[in-house]
Amino acid sequence: MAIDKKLVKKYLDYKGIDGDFDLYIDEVFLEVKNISNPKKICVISNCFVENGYYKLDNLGLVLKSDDINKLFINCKSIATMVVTLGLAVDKKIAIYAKTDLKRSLVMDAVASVYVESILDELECEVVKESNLYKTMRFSPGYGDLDISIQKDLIEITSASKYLGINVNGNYLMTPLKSVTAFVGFSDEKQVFSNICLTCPQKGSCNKKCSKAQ
Amino acid sequence: MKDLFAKKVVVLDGAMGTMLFNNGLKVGEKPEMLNLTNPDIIFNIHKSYLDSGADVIYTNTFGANKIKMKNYPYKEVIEKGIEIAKSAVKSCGHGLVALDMGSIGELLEPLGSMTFDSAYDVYKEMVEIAKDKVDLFVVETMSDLYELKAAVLAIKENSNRPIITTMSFDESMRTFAGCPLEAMIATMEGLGVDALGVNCSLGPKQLGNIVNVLLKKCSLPIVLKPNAGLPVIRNGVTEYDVDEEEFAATMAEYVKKGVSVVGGCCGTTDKYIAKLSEKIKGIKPAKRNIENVFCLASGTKYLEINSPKIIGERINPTGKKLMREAIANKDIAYFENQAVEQMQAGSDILDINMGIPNINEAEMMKIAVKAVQSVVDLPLQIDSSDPLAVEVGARYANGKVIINSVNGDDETLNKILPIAKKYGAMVLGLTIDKDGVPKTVEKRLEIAEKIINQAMKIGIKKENIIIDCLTLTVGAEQEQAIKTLVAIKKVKEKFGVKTVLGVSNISFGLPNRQIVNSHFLTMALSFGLDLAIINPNIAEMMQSFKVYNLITGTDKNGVDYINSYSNVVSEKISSNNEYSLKECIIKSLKNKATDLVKELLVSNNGLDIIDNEVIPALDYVGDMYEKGKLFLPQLISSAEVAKSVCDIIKLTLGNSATQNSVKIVLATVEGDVHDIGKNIVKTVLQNYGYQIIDLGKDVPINKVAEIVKQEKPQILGLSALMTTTVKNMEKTIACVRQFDSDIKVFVGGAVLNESIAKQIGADYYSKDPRQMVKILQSLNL
Repeated sequence: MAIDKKLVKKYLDYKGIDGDFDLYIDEVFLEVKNISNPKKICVISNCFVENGYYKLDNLGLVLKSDDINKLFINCKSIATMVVTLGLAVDKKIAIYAKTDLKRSLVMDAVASVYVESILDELECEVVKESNLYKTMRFSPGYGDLDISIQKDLIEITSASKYLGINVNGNYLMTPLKSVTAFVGFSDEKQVFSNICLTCPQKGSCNKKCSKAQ
Repeated sequence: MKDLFAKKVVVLDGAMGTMLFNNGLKVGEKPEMLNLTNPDIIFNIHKSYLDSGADVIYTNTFGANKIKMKNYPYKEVIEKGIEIAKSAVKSCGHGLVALDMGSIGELLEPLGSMTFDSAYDVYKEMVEIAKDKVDLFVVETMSDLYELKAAVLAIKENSNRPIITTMSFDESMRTFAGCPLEAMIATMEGLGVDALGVNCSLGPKQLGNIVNVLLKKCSLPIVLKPNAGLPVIRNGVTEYDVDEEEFAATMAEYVKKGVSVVGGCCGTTDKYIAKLSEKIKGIKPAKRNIENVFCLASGTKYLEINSPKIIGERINPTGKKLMREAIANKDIAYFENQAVEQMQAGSDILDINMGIPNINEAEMMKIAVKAVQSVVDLPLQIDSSDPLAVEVGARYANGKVIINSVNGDDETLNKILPIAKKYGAMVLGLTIDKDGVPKTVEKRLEIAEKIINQAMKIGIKKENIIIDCLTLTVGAEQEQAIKTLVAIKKVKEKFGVKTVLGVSNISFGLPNRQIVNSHFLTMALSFGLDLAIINPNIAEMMQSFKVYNLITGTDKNGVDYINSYSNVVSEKISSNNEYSLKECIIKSLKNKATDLVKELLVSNNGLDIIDNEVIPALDYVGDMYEKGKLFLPQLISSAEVAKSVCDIIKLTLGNSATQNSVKIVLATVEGDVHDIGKNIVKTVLQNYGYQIIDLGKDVPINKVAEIVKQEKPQILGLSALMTTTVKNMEKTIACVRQFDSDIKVFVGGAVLNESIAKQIGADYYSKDPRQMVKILQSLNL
């Protein structure tokens, strides 16, 4: 697996053209791959609308978001995905912050891209198996889906037990390089609804959903 | 009670959660709350396990702590949980009750923000409730060795009941937090738990390798409480792939080999425990061949002393001006740098000594141990003559440490040995007593014997004793040097313990000390020295060490030697290019820059070099960055080279001479751990001579306020990356403004901009370090 260097540079706001820097990213990626211990969980749930919001039947989780209502319209099922690189990557980034700041910065960006690429792979697997049309991926904190759902999501999927993920009082996950996301499935082709245009993070967000714009 | 594990195979219960789900518990409900809302269901589960043959049942209190059950009546949950378990035991007429405790659910420092003391308090609160009511304590499903240590100390210091500890490992034999199996064994045995092992995460089949290591390395009863195979999520429900027959059969095989405490975790039910009880009936666990090894550990590293090892001696103020200054100023960054440098130079263990006059040595020991642990994963050697500092060091160090030191005096033996015993530390014994360093080999052996006997008398195992035969300078007492070497050999032969030596004492007063030290090191290793206390940054010392290992075959196939000396990477620069220091900083040529500054310092004042070379280079790089011609990674590289240059200048001028009068407190606000931006700002500002007090990440509002009150900085810089934590930034600013209306507050971070900065009460928004420098310069402070 190669790392998407373009995305790494985007996260770093690096606009230079520099072969040495590309090699450097590769080198850091190799280190990240060696120390990380990627783990993932995916739970497919049938979904139905209860009190105006989607509810995942087997997890009991309610997705309180009008954006999700719009985006996941007509969805019969929703995949809840959790992915992490493990604590060793966080630790290394923290140590480099004290010994080699540039490497810490680049490793942070590389690890973010890497964990998302693992999520991409997981999403592909799930989509392949489902044989249905899918929505765009949606994570807590996007649009109007409050990030506080993170706590229940991690507990209900047992991600704390199987992936070692904890959520703190500000709904921040550790290991830091962990991602949660939902994808909806339906029989009909999705009319693409561009959630990014109304997202409160618009303008400051550097992340994946901006790709969809 | 403590004999429980000696008598027979002990059967523990199976899963609580699985039984609850089978009884209709819904996903997302707190299982512990059932102690209050539906005690009958819990009673019946306990009873069914006891009826199935369990000797010990775990209370339904796994997550009943003040963090995980913050908004629930967790104290009542614990009390009621114990009551239910005891009534089940009473109704069955047999069985013991264990208070079950799991992980707190928040990450401990250094990666998280929960302190060791807070974690200790969380467990202590649970122990206090249960101590007179339960038969034993269980800490299970743990991942972080530091958290487990806090739990075990909380139990041992507040109760006298037996303790079982189990952690969860994957097939690589590490926990999620990276703790190796052997590090758990070394640390928990040392702390004096009664039985230890593994639970959850894997099924019995996958535990084969883990069991083999436990059988070989753990001298305590081994506990296995695996899942019913591996989890498979079917239709959103977690199921396990091993039935009770297969589960019990595999577990019975482990019992035959010597495992003596067995039960089940996720996916197991009363049927599994009944089958297990039936299968193991009549099996006598085999007598185990336990290897007695000399070993140390950190939270993520296990170190066996089966070949010579290096103890880095640099975090010690003796003869080191900058270290003394760093201790006096609580300069954590300095300790961290020294730790990293020594690790990179090849240290296996790091010595920590904070002994300077007129300071609180114990407090400094705690600070230094935490600082060092945050950047390296090497085991530590706690070095002090103050018993309080020794105890603090042993307590806050993660893993298993060396305590340096005791000697032949009864006073130190009586004070320090009990600390080593309590924390399971290895103890370093100096062959010296009130009469000084003995002149003869025999007297050294006599003192060594006294230390070993005293230590063993209070229960310290021989594998936890190392002896230092001490060397004096060969410049003064030439005939003594060889006696040290002979003593090393004899101590090992006679007592079977390991040896340690502060090598560089040999050359005090002599010219070119490295020559003497490095050759003496080779000689000492030839006489059997196991642990050499040296400065690993001196190339000659490491050369001697690596060559010794190469020649004796310790370094198999010379891999370490070849890796160390065949690939000396040089910077991509033609040797013909003559760059100025300014250019070297701009081009991020670290080696060239540090060589050049040393040359310049011969005939130039350090402050002039900073003004004429370093600052103009930083300004140039900053301009290029602003114009979009250079990018953040390059800006940081130049800043780091400038920092290395300034560090060298500080060696000649002292720390304070290179700083201006502007004091800046920096913090990433409470709840946020994204501190890379703040770290970059810090490095750049330091290069410009600002005095930085870096409070780190996830800094509580009142801590920022307290430090601002104490240090009275002109500037406060706050960072946040998440929208959720901007609130805390606002609160921090408001709190500080209450007592300091003059302070200028800078804010930065991805979610901020000029207008949000104004809204939350900041004076300035700076989007990057360059902008912050420019604003600061314009303020004419």
